[in-house]
Amino acid sequence: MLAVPGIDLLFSSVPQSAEFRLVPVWLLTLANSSGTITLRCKDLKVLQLEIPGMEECLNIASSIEALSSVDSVMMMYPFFYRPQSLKLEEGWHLFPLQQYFQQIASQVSLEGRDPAMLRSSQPLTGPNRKRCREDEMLLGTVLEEGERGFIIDTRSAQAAKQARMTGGGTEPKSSYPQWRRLHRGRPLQESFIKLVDACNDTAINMDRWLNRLESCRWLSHVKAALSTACLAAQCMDREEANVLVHGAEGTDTTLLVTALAQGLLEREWIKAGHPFHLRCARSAYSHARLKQEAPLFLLFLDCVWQLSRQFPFSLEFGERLLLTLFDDAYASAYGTFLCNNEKERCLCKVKENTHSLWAWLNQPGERKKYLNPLYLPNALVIWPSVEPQSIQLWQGLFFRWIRSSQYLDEAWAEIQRLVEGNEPPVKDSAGNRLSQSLSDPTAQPENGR
Amino acid sequence: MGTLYLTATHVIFVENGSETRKETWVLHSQISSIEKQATTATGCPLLIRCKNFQVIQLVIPQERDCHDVYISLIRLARPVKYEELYCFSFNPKLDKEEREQGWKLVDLNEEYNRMGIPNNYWQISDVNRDYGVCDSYPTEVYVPKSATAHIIVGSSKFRSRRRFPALSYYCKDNNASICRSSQPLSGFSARCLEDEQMLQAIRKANPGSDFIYVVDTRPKLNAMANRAAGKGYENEDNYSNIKFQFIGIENIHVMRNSLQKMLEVCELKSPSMSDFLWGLENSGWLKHIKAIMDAGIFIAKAVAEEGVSVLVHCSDGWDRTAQVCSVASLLLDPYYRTMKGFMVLIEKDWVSFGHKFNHRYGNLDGDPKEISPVIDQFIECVWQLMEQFPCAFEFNERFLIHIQHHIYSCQFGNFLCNSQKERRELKYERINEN
Repeated sequence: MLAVPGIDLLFSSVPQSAEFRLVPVWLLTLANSSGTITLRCKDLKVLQLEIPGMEECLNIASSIEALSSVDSVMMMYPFFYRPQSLKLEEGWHLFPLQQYFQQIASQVSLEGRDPAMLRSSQPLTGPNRKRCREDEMLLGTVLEEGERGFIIDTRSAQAAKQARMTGGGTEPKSSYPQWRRLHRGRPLQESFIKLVDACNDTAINMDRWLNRLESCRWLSHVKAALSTACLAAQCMDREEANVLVHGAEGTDTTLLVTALAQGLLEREWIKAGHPFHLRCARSAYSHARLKQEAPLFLLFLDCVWQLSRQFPFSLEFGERLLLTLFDDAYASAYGTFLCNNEKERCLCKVKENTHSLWAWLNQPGERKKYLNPLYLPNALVIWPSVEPQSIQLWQGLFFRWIRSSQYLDEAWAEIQRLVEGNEPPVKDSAGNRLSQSLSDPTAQPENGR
Repeated sequence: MGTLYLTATHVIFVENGSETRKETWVLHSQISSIEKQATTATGCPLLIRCKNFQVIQLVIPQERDCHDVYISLIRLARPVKYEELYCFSFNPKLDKEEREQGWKLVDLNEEYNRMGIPNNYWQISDVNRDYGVCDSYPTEVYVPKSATAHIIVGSSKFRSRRRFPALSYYCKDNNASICRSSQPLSGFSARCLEDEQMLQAIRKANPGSDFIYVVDTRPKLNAMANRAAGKGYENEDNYSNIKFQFIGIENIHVMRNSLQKMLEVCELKSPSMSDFLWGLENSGWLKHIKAIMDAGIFIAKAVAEEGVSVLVHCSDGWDRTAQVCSVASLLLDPYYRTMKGFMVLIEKDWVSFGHKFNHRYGNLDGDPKEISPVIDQFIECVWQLMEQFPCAFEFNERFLIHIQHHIYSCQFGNFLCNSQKERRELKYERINEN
């Protein structure tokens, strides 16, 4: 029996009655007297429904189509989802921006000037090399006399040059003398689609697997993102210089880099206006190559996952949180990732009418599912290795529906048990030693005799 | 900056730091190759590549000194006699009794007993007691009850290197077994009654099934080429009730080259992701690992799911056969995933069945074409399994690395020589550490 009430699809007589709210791009095939509907979901799950009776099948298919492509944001699921344990106002004020900046300000005045990271969009220099005194002054105030700044342009040098033709461009050296520009060099959506295709191909042999992994270039993007973030972090940490990061719009790769370099989700991605609605419209199975679609948020999550592999003690949260964020960015019961920016969210009255994902995650029962049992608070900066050997395919995401994670889950449960059973001092010493050696990339491993 | 010492067994570099005395020790037996590089302003560089993949670069100020060190290391890294090896001088101060106890830790008779043998279907045979039938097999082999001495001897004459079918693993739950041998000397049309009877005996030892699988772990083309040389593989028409299966794993020369290419990829300075992945694919290393795993899985499934016995061979039955039988055993029996069980597994399928440690891992100076990372591949297969099933193994990665290290180190006597016969001739048991 298949019921289609509102936006959820519920199945019965399926082994685990699968309730999914991640509605999809779908494919309909009709054969003889029954039809098969293949649902490809944004969370990369693929479901096949066999429905006896052509007419029934067509009806169901058109219902699903209508429901999965609502035009108005306010008809989307978060506006209807009302879990019992939450109240509507919770969780929207968990991260007030003023408080954050106040904290930083007080730190700065105590310890002297810390390097700052800024973000923006590209300067509209255009082909005539326009100048803007206000912009130059703004950047000027960031630096003190004699200090240096770095501008990290997330576009390649060529792309930045071309941008001048359409009215954009780069900061000319003469007008911004204290700033040094560095370029980095994005058909990210294509990459994502190809990778998911390769992962789903279970008949593949080893040669073709590596070939496809290489040609989809997903891991190259991860490497590039991580190394740009490292660069920004290095400028700040090692050279104690101020950093300005921008791409074209200031909403994509820019955010990726600033967020990675600092690791702050709500502030960087949501408040700063990453256009989630546009970017996460269709995910990997879409045939419509929407111009604005790009799995940047996923790339960010992948980078965070790489960090968690290289520094198992350093993140308070585990892989499960990253997977949940991935799911919710594309289709959610919560309003946190709706729309494209603050302005739109205000217009749709998101805070008044939907629940916040953070509220849900913060509940004590839920929170502990997402914690990393190995976490040890550590104030040091972490420097990941961005060599290809160190960057791995995020199997927990890309193979999520293909291969059972049962044995790995078992291992994590065991780690949890071991950690909880241990005396605190033992855990601390092992963790401290490891953190110390990881934070110093020049430390040599011991040589055995 | 520091001082370099050359002892009979090690190269030792001691750093000149004032606070901590940092030492780097490298066993001569671990040295795979030494390269003198072009002299630079700072001195004459010497690149030492080790068998455990460690790479050390020493810069020696005077060219003359560098040359001396180079010549010495070459001689030290290529011992000619067994007595020169580290294990003969390594002395961790255990008394004679403790040392002998060490050797008794792994007892293969005990292992076969654990499997449930001898029983109605399998027995121990001393037909090879003086290595008279096969000099690369152990003195005690396990064979089907209905395999008489006559059948064993006859079959051995029809097998490459006389390596007749013998028991590797027995599953007491369903009587299915894994047997191993070398290729038959069948050429295009030769037959041997005793060899055919041997395979029948294996089949009869498993009343639950009316056929056995014969798995040839070579690529079909190679096996066919062997026929032209008077060897080859079993013809289903001649051997009753067998199902023949090729599962192609490449030979030792291909594997040696594959490892070489992979090490080159690993030594690239700041490669791009593309370079790295392309290089990895080009080496073929993971493809080979997968081939070994696939073969192990096929055999394990035949035994556990179908309840059918399997006879495995390659060419000589001491490389790919060892890999594949031990992977299958690991999948089938959790005992081999304990520390003791793993040691027993290596002792059984590698040491006792005559895997050529000396030739393959270059313990003594020998033919470079014999060198191949056969056991390294097996160890990697184990690691792959540990990654997928983290809770299933009693030991960790460090244990595997340690074992790999010591196969090359010759610090202990376990992995010396090419067969049980050679080891006994050397009387190593009385002298070495276990």
